[in-house]
Amino acid sequence: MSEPELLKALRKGEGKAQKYLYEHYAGIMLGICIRYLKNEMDAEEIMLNGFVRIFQNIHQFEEKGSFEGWMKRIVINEALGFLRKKEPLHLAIEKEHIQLPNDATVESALAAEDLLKLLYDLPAGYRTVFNLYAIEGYSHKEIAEMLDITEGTSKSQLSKARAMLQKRLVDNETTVY
Amino acid sequence: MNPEDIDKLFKEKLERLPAAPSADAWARLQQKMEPPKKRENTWLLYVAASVSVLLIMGLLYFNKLVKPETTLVARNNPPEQVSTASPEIIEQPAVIAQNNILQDQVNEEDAAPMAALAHDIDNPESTVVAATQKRLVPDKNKAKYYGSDNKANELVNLNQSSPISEAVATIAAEESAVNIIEVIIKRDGSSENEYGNSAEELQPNSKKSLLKAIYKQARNLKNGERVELAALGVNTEKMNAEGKNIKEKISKVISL
Repeated sequence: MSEPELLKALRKGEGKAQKYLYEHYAGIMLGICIRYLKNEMDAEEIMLNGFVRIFQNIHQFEEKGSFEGWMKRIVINEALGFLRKKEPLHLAIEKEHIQLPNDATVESALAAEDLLKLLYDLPAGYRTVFNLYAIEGYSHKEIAEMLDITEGTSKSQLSKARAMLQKRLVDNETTVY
Repeated sequence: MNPEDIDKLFKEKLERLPAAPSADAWARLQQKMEPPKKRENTWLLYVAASVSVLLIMGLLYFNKLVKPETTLVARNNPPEQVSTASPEIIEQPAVIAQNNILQDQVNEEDAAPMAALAHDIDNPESTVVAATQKRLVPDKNKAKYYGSDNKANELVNLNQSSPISEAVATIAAEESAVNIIEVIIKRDGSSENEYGNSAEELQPNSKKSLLKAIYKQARNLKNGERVELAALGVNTEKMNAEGKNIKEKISKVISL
């Protein structure tokens, strides 16, 4: 089923097309949610809510950007909404002074699960900004709008997140050897 | 390690994180898709449930309301005190008492009417009799009061009491034993002549005078004359008011 055909069927509200879309994207969308929300049950719930929103607002999608990008944005917004309610995003206070070892090199042999664990160790605010900027590829301007913060805050949160992750990665390396 | 390298590392590994939704996720999604319909159904269900609960509670309350009243009056007014009956006392216990007296009298003085009585008492099971008596209950007093034509009144009674359903039926059932005898009094014309003559002097403080009064009224009824319910120790207004209350309650429940 081509994308225009799929979109046409989705706009008609055909259940078959909805199931097709779900089967193709549920895994990807759940993978996104898991990065934002530690709890797997929450992540799945948000993923499902995202699909409901996609189906209900399918007529709002203008075929300018990619359909997948539009869907991701919806699911991410669902996740952010949930985080706003559950975890105070911007109350993340820097608890430790991070000193970076200059010669630290990190092998990329780490599995996705290990990286996910490192991500979970970040305060919710850091994690969210890092997710949006580093992995999703949004600009600081977009992130500032999405999270209702200033661009400066977004930048500083990102750099703190990076620093923390780098420290943890190095610690990880040293404990391994 | 540059900050960009960290970004790259995480992006590579986590951008397409493999994740499998649980098996029932699609079913849950479908449930989320159609909440309005479901909500409407459950809403209707709740309404139906609450209405039925209200109905049941109403019936229970009504039954409670009636039962204690009758038992209370029966306890507080043993047959000896019936003659001094105040207007508040409702009719049934008084009638029981009167009927007891009647039976005593009959036993002593006349065997033939007793046989008739016994015959009638023996057949309370007959549903036809019971049914007519039930219909008679709420408007018995009216029947006596207007007393010109019993059959016509029964017809009226039938029409008036038809909307009164189970609730009244239960009362009627309770009173049916009483009513069987009550009906007999009306039909018991042969014994009237014997007691009718002396029924003039009313002494409200004795059983005998009350019995006489009843016979007098019964004769009046038979002859198509005016029947004084007050002489029987019966409060017509209260009976009618109670009947109206019952009708109102039931119509309220139905309109709900």
